[in-house]
Amino acid sequence: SNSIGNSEIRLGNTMENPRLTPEEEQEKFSQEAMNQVKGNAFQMKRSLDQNDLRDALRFCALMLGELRTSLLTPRVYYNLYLRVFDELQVLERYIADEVILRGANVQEIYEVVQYAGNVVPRLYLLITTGSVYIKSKAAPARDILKDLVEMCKGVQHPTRGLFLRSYLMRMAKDKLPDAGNEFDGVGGSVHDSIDFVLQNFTEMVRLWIRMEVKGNVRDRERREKERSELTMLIGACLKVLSDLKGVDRGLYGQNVLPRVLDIVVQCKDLLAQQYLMDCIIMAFPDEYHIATLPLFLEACMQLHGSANLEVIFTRLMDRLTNFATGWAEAKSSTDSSTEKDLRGMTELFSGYIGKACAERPRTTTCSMFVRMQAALLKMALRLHPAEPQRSAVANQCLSTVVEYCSSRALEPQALKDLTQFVLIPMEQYQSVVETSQLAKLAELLVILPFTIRREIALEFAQGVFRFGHRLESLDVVKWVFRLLAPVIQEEDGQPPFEQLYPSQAAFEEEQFLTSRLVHQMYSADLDALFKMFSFARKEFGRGGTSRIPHTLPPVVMVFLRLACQLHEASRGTDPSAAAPTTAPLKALNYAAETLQALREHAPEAVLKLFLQVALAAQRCQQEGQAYDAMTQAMLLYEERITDSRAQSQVLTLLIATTQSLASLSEGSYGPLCSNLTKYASNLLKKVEQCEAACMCSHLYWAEPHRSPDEVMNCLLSKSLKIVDGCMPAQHCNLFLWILNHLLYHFHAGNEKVTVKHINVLLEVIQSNINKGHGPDEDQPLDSAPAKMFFQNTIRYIQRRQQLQGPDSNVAVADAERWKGIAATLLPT
Amino acid sequence: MFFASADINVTFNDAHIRKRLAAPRSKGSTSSSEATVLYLFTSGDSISGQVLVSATSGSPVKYTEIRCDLIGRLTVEGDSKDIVDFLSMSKLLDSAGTVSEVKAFDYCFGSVDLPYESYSGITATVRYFLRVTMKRPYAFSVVEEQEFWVQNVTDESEVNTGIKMEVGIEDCLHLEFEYNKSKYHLTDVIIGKIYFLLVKIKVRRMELSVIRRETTGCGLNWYNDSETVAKFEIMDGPPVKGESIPVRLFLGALPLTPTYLHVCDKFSTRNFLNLVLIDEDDRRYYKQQEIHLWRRHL
Repeated sequence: SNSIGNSEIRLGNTMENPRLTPEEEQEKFSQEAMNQVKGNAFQMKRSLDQNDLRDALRFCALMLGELRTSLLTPRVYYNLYLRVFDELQVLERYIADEVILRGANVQEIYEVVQYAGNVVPRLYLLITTGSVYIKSKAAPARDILKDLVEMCKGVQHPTRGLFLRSYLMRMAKDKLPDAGNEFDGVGGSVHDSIDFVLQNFTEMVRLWIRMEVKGNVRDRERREKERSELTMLIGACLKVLSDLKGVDRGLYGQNVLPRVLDIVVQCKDLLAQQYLMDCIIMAFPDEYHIATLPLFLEACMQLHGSANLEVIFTRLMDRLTNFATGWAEAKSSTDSSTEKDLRGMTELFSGYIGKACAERPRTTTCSMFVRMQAALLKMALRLHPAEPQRSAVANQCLSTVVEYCSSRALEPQALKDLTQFVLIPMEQYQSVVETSQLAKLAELLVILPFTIRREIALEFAQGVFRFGHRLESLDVVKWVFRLLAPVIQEEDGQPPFEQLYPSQAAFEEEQFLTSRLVHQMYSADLDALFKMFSFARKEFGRGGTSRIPHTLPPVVMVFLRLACQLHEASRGTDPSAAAPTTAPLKALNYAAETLQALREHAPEAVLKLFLQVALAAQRCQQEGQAYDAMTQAMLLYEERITDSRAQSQVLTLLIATTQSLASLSEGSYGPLCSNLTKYASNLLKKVEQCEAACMCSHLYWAEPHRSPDEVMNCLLSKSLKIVDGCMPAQHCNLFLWILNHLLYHFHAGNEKVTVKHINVLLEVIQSNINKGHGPDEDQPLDSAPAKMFFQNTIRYIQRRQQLQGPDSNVAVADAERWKGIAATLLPT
Repeated sequence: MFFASADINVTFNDAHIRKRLAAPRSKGSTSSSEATVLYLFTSGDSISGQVLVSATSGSPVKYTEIRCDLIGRLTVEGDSKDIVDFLSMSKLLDSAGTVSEVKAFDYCFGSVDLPYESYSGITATVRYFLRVTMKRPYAFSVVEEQEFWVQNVTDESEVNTGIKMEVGIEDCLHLEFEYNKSKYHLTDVIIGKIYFLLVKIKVRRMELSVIRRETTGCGLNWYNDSETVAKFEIMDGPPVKGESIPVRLFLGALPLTPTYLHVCDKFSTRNFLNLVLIDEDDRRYYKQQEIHLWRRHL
């Protein structure tokens, strides 16, 4: 008999092992099938070694019989298919050698393989032999391809059919008649190849859709999954078409695409259509898409009523946007038609997006519309990177969205998408400032709810820092602040604080972010800058009591900086530059006024800022302002600093600042000093009093208010007196403290400080340390830190004594003076 | 002397050029399971050759007559065995004589009309054979039969229309099948297609089988015996409406016999193409369609 075997399907008995999970079951079936394949493949190859083609075909048919199974999921079936595929290549090579090298009659083999009784093995064998048949050129490739694709109709089972046709595609793809290849001409033309591929494609699509139709609702999810696993098999057809050299842009537009689109539209299956449109986008070159855009978009309109056009549109737009970017960068191309098509792309898409919304109001949600517009906007901006077109297209896009959204209820997803949409210009421009030129952006923001605006505001604020650019005009500043309003100011009907901010820290961070903006403001024109700062001050000032402690201090600082700049400018180091009209005084006053507003909310911070005002005022030679600022600071000290620890710390600052303000007139400086000495003596703790008194001594050493007597008064009369009132345990430290101040003044040349003073003090300290502890036995003195302090001080003195510059008389004289001090280190 | 016997061996003159084939055996045949290789003749051939008679035991064998008969025999196994010798020709090779060692006799039947083909069916058998009979005095005759096979080529019928038919079950399954011819020679290819007009059942597969049906008896007493000669799967999986499934069946691969009609008015053998659809529950839907098979080549 000539027949090649009529194998029956082996049925796996699922009841045999009821405990197997579906996965284990698949594993088992797959293993069984794989073993069969291996065994028969081995026999096949052995027969081939013995040059017995008939037997080889018989075993091959048995092997292929395993592909008749219905037990495997597509994924597992795919693995089996791959294995079988490899084995079939062995057979194909053998037949090819027989035919091409040894002159066997390929037509005969082509007939013999069709004796196989089962359709699936028969068709795999037919395709394998057909592949050789084409290669042998014994018949035109066109005819063989046609025969193969027709015969494949014998397999109507979706999975098996898809794999069979996928095998056909894979075997045929390098044997298709194509422009200039070996099969072109007698074997057919590229048109035949297109017909062939499209016929196979149509059938595959039909099989694939059928997977969905059959079966019950229960395991729909599983089927969907299985189905999606097979999509790549279908997409491969389009890839084959795209790989044909003969399919140029012209042929694609006139022939291929219309037919492919027709197939897609006709298949009427929602999922398939979406996937296939995506496949088309992926498979063909972007130039082709650009040239055939109207055709493609028109076809989209004819898709299933529930088709998600948004996904298709955005995918295409994203791709073309990338292409346009690359194309614009290359610029080497002289392809004028692409250039023209590129220009028209935006309008085309815009039109079809509108059409999609109009014709499919129910399936096109707000969110989809916004996403499409977002892709469109990105594309438009890439296509028109230069002004003024850039703003024009962006504004147009924005106004479309405004128009669309203002009349609709926006679902949460749409709001999220809108947030992304609004940020596109900034991302594309890489600039917040340039984005501010978009008139329509503000219009869009108006229709958005508070939370979204706030989110956008934060993004913009971060953008300013991310792109690191300066806000250089009042208009820009105004625009940015308008944008930031939801963060900077309270608004009627805004959600409660707890809803907006997870914690106080989050709130503060946000305020911190926005307040930093003033540092980004810049202008060479100081008058303009003043206006910008004033504007910021005004806007931040409306922020309410929770915000201003965070937002206003930076404003104060920039005002102070500006005041100094104004002062510099008015002194006219550069006569050619026009002097600013704003007086430094005005800036100082603004700063001071701002602080007044803050006074109640953050006294300590305000106090410190007043000190800054005072320093700045001094630099601007505004004595009155400086004095006022100091007065304000002291007032705050008296009224609001109540904690003793804070008092001593703040007092240190006050003393230091005042000392820096020595350029003030005696009339101003004197009262400040006397106030400070008073504060010093009013401190709660003796130790603090003592230290403060020491510090006050320096106030009287500042030029031009130098008074050696006052210094000694502070150091000796006051400080030492306070030490007397202290506990003995503290004596040692305090003496050391006073000693160091004495040494400072001794070094500074205060003639009232004598070697005798120092020696006496040294002696007292030494005896204190030698005692090892205070007189009170109950409180042993931890003398280690004191000892270290003392040793360091002694070392300092000794260094001074040895300091002898060879050519400096002063140094020699100084060293002589220091040598009077009896400085001896403690024995260790 | 009583046991002295002879061997008879029949040879054909043109044995070296004559085609031989392995004769198919009918299922019921009790003879050796191996196919016998037989010489092939066709109607109009001259059947000639030699009959060799040899004495087996070495002692001479006497005979009264040696005769060679050419017999075409039709056997129908039924309730009762019915044997018809539709052909019977006889040649006297020698009258009385003795074979001491070997004796050769030529025989020749010139241009014999062999009306029917050799056939080995389920109940009907057509056999052709040469029978040499050596009659002996006071002993059983020695008889030797030499079977040969007969095939006859038929001319192609002038009328050979295709088969096209719409069949189905109402509101359940409608299909149209189409075969390119109604008469096929034995190495022909059946080209056709099955077009589904309506599919409401879950078809799992479809196959085409060739059925041989023997009809025996005459008048009112006739019997049918069917045998599936070959099965050929043409579709796997469920088709949908509008699907068209191609059929291409190479008959050369199948063990077929031509259609025989009214052989001696005792039997007919017909061939049918049976289109079978099998559904998910293994129910079978089928439609048989007779095809006429004929022999084009030997």
